[in-house]
Amino acid sequence: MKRWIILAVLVVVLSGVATIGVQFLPGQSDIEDPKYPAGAATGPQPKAVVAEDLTFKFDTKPQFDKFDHTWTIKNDGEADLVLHLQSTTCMCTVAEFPKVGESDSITVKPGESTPLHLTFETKDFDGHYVKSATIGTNDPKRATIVVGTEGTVYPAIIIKPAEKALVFASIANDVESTDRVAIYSPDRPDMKITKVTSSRPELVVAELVPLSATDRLFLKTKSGWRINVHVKPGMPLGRFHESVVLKTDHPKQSEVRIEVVGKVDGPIAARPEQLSMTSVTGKKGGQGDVTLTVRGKRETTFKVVKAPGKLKVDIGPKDPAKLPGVYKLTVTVAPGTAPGQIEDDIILATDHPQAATVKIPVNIFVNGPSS
Amino acid sequence: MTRSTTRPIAALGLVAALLAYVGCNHDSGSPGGPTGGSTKTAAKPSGSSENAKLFADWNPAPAGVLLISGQQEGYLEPCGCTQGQLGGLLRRYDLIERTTRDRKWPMALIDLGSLIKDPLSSRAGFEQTKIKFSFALQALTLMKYDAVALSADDLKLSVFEVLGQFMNMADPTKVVVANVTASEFPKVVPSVRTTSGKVKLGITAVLDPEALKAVPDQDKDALLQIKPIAETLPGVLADLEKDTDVQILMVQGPAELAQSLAKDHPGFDIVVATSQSDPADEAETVNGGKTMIVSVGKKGKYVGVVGFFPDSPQRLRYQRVTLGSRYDGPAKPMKELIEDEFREMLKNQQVVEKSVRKGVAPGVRFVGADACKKCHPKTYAKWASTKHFAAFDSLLNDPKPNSQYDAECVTCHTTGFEYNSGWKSAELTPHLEGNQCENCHGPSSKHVEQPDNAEFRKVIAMTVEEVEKSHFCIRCHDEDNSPKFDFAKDYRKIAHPDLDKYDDPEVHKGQPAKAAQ
Repeated sequence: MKRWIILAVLVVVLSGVATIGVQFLPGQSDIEDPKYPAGAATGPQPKAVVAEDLTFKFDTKPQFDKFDHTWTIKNDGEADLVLHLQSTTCMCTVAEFPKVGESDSITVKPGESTPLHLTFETKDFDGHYVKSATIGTNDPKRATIVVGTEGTVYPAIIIKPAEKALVFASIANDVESTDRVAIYSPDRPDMKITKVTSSRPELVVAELVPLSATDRLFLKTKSGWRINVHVKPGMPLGRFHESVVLKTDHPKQSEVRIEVVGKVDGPIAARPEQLSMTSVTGKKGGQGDVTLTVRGKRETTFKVVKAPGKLKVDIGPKDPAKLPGVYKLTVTVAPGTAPGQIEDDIILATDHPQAATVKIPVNIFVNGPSS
Repeated sequence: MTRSTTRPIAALGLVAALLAYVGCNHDSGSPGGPTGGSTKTAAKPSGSSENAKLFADWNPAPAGVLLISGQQEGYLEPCGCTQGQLGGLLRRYDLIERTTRDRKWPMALIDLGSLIKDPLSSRAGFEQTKIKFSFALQALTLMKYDAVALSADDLKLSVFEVLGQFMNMADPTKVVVANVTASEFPKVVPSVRTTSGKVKLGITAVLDPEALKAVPDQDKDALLQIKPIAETLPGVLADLEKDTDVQILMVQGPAELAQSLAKDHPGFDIVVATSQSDPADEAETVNGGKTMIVSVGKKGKYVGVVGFFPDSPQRLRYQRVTLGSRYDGPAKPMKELIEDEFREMLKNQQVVEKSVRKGVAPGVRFVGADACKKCHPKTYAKWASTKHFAAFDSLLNDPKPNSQYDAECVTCHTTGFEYNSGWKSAELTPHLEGNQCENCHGPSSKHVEQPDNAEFRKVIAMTVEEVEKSHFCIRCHDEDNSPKFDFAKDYRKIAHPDLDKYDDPEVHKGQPAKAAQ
């Protein structure tokens, strides 16, 4: 019985040591990849030759399109040429040797050749399109062949400017703000917009206007639409993210979404809006600043009415001569402050008629020992 | 064989099997690289074998190397949540470790900038993107980067916020830009001098003034002073040429700007340009071969490594390195930063709960699939048999911690996240777990309250044709997260036409269909 217990303990210990030990083994070396060793140094050698251009260039193609191209690889050498499908730059590219169907490799006798077929999918790509496949060979002078395609992929419907969103970076809450985009289709200039909806129709309003002659000339399109997006007064203070959705009659893209993002400021804007400090150490302490900008550059008096006990908070004009209406709030973590998180609000009272108080959240991580 | 000999042999066999199991499951960083449907090795430059022999003709060893990265665009980890993707800071860390530890090559590191992109409209939301930027900077200092270029993409977060975060960066990393000054922020400098072994490097960068103009920030003019590149760059180059062996320029602007600056200022040996597609595996050379133009592409999938060979006719050599699964080493410090601390921060900062939401039509709200089940029991059952049903569970089962607090994950693995009344958390909105009916059909409270109202039904009705033409599914099944997605094939897995009958009068009174009872 004793022997079995000892054996069981030995098995557990050995397994544990092995599990821990292998963590310290180096990963695969990036010096040599044993799967693709260099070919033999002497004797008859294979020779891979591709007569045509390795890059199939196209001018433009639409999104959500599929196209293909075939290259021919010939063995001009004196030994068997082994070709292996190594990789593609994305899963939107599929490579195969038609002669062998699903197999990843093919052997080409001296003097013979094989087609290499690539299929590309443009999907929702937009812009300069470069995709390729890499074929490994046992040709000692040409270990790989890279074939691919290059061109420009365009969406069915183009939005200009091409930014991902309409940005209303910092707008006042008591006036209307407007920004605009142009929309047109290169292959369907007569495209119609059948419906326009907004995620916040009472405050974010989209207006459809046909492109002017000047717009059409600039955009090099026969027709299209300008979408004017109005953010109405009354939008709540703070950040917002809404969307305008356009339904179209384009057969390839029935919907276009325009994200509308931004920030509505009150009469006093704090930057940053929340003071976050993550690399303060208890030993050295630290300091962070918040800039307060008063709309209209109004001279304003601030008073700290609430602040976390561990912090020292000071406020004063930043540079009255050069930057009127701009104030600097300085938050100091003193050396010797105990480690931990300080998550609280600083509240300032002001003499501004439209903003009696300003709240600044703070989130400070005090790291390490305090001494 | 007697019983007395069988047992010891069986025991030894068990030990051997256990040891073999442990050994075979050790991650040796098997060859990986660009996606290809199965584990395949990375793309190699034509005429050479990138994965078979990295740095093949770098013999004897270089006097030093320079690692160039850039345009990470928020991809702290490989694209998306699917296997086989490239990039990630852990792999970059592993590459740096292997090069400096195994090959013992001295290394300098620079980054072109654009650590994040589109902070205001990104899927992660503004607050998460801000946290991401902070961690991207921490990652650079962890890897001991020498310089990162100032970029308009990063400044879009908020000029003040970004400059403030730069101030928190630990040494030695500096922010470099020749034609922009930020007088109150000493970490932003016109040039950086460093060494790679015995090779002295002079590094600078420029920011395209047009790109800076497009940054929508009212603090920009107060905090940054921009000058024409032509006015500042020659002086910075001349200064670097006095006491450095190799001069490097990073260009934050269109690739054409990098090309023209490379030709106008042949004193630069290396010019780093932006790129909108995967980078070429070889560097371009101009000025009769004197200047090398390097791009590393987007999303951090590739880095460039330049070797310095001062005693060779070919002084500079270039190797593009694909950050594939061959670099899946432990990278423990980076793993702790990116997988543990970053996600813990997302959880602590409640980025999901506090995310800015879009409006829904007045009086409308998300109600959850259980409300649909009453009248659509068979459709519900079909949905419950699909991966959409278990989408939130897959986050909980993710080996990386706290995925359910990551807005980029939650947006596709829960219901209504981007909207008012949509997903907030497992505690507040448990009825919205998974990818439910309303993610496609929209918030359905009005239809549930008045199931016979044709107008309400019309708003939430969808046909296959509409889904296909609007490319609806690609919002989640995009190239990053679902590279093999094929609508024609995959839609069939969730299609649910005409499964339920509505001739039961009880259904029209808002009562459960008899079939469900």
